[in-house]
Amino acid sequence: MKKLLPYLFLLPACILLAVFVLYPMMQVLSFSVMRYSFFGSNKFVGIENYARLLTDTDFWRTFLNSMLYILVTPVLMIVSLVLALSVRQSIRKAAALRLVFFLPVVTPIVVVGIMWKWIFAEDTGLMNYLLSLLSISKVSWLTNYPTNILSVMILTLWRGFGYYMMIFLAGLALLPQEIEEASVLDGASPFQQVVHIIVPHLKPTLLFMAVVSASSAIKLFTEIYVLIPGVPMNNKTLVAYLYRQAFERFDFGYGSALAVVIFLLTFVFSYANIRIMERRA
Amino acid sequence: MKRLLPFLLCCLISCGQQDASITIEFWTLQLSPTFNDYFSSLIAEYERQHPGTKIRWVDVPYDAAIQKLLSSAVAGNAPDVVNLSADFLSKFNSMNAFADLTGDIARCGHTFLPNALALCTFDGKVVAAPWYLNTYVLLYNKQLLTEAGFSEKDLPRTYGQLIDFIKQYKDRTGKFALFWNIGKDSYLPMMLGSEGVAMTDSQITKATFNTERGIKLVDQWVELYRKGYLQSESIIKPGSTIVESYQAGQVLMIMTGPVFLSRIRTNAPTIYAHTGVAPAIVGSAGTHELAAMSVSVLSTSKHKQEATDFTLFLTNPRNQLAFSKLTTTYPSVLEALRDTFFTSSAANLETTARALGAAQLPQATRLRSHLLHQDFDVLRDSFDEAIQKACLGTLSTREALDRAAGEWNAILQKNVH
Repeated sequence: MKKLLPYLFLLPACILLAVFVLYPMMQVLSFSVMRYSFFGSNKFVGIENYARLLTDTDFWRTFLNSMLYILVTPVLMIVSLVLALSVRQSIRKAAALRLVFFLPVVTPIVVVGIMWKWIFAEDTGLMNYLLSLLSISKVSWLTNYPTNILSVMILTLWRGFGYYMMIFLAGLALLPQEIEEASVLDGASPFQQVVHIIVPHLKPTLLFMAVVSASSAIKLFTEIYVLIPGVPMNNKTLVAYLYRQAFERFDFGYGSALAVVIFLLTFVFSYANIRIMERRA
Repeated sequence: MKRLLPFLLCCLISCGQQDASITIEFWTLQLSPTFNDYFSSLIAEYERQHPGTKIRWVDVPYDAAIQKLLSSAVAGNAPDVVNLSADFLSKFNSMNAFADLTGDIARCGHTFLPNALALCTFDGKVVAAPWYLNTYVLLYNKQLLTEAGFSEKDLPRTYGQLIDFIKQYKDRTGKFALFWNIGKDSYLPMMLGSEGVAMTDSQITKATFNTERGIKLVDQWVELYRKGYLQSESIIKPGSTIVESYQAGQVLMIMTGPVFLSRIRTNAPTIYAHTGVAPAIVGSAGTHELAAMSVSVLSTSKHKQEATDFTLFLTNPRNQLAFSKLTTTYPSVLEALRDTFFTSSAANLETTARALGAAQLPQATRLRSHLLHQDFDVLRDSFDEAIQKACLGTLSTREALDRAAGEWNAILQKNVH
């Protein structure tokens, strides 16, 4: 009984995972080899949906855009680390800054979308107004590719850095103060401290963040949905394409094939990230 | 045992009664709570007339309706009767979602408007009963109009006049006269149809919008966009944002259904106070776009006959007229449309708009013929992207429309063979 007890404690979580994660995943896998019918029986089509992906230009464009969004990951990590280092002192001002930086994370995405739409509005928005003060002509923040991708990246960064900053702060809290103090006595500059002490210490945190932020970038959807819903599909990402196929065109079979590809992509990316970081460690 | 016998008999009787009772589930699109009283009394009357039939009314949000309907179909608990925009009928018809109502509609005893019935008919099969209708009028801000030095007689009546007016207004005020979504769920097909340029041939087998005239007409709007006479986001914002821009006071005028007047009254009473209404803009063909709501019986219904019966009750002249009196919509049956209610003199903005719209209904038809095709969403996206490319200067209008026409023909021909 003693041996069984740990497994019994694990059972509720396993059941929940099986019902809400594994079962839907298996279903998506089975739908991906079918022509799905809502009001009739499904028809098995083998790899037809996957073969269709190969010749689908929208798929390849959205795939490339998703890869482009991964560029957000290193920027997000650097910005978050800099912010975390700047607010880690326990002074009152830093606490207020922490709150300010974390505010975008807890702001509902719809509100964020409306706010940034106002900022990026091409005729009346804040960004173009500021640019006009510098005598820079109007930028098509929302309508033109790839500027609209840059707009979504800015929104993603703004919304994400507070979350990653908190993770960095948690990692920094575990850094023994004596090591930092010793390095100061040895004459290390703040930059040398970051490179030789802080970053090596934060390696597990960096690994976690690289995996999470890269897979989030691949799965990017909501930001696009709220900021640039009306742009052509080839300006969007893989998950937006999945949404269109499955939930706007009701092609569940093809949508499921896309979902499987996105899953594999995320899996491969995360695995590669972990291996690279482990090897460097 | 003697004591048990009456109890068992009661159980049997009540079970028997339950079996005899039929429940029809009926879905509407975002009509509750505004019309709760109307539907409660309508359903009560129907149940009184049809003992043994119960109606379970479920109101679903407009934006979530399609997904809810599909989810319910997958789960095996789809409703019996469903209210859908006629725009979605072709898609659902291609999924074999609907029961055939052809015979029932023909025998129902009231006359549906032929142009409305045409929206519900696919390959000669009527898959829905037309319900309430809408068409477009021009809403304008009288204060902004006067401030710009215009009077009501300067308001445009045709698309040609509209283009000139948009330019003059922007040149005088630096502001936008109109918000019209030309690149997302584009209304340009509506303009083309009203100018006599059909989007497809009558059999919907070939794109016909890229004629010399079609290209010239679209190019005028592309030029307006490129020269900054239209809002930059008018190529990516959908039609649902038209009313928003008007009630925010960003534009002088919009083309929309009279039904939206009540929303403007609630959301922006100041703008409403300055709002005037004029006939919709038309092209040389003089036709208007017809927007229709419909009611279908799903093919999965276990009580098709009863569901059809309720559908025809809901859409009969008396009930449609009663519903129209609560809204600024139009009934789809001639017997109700002949009521003096739709021609009454202008007492307020809503009645003026209602009278204007009613007068346009005979000329209203489906100008966006591609919406009758099962792949209308693919066709629509292809056209939208062509307009976006032309407006952003990636392609010339001719190149963009020719390319879109090629894509359309590939799709339309695929379904022919």
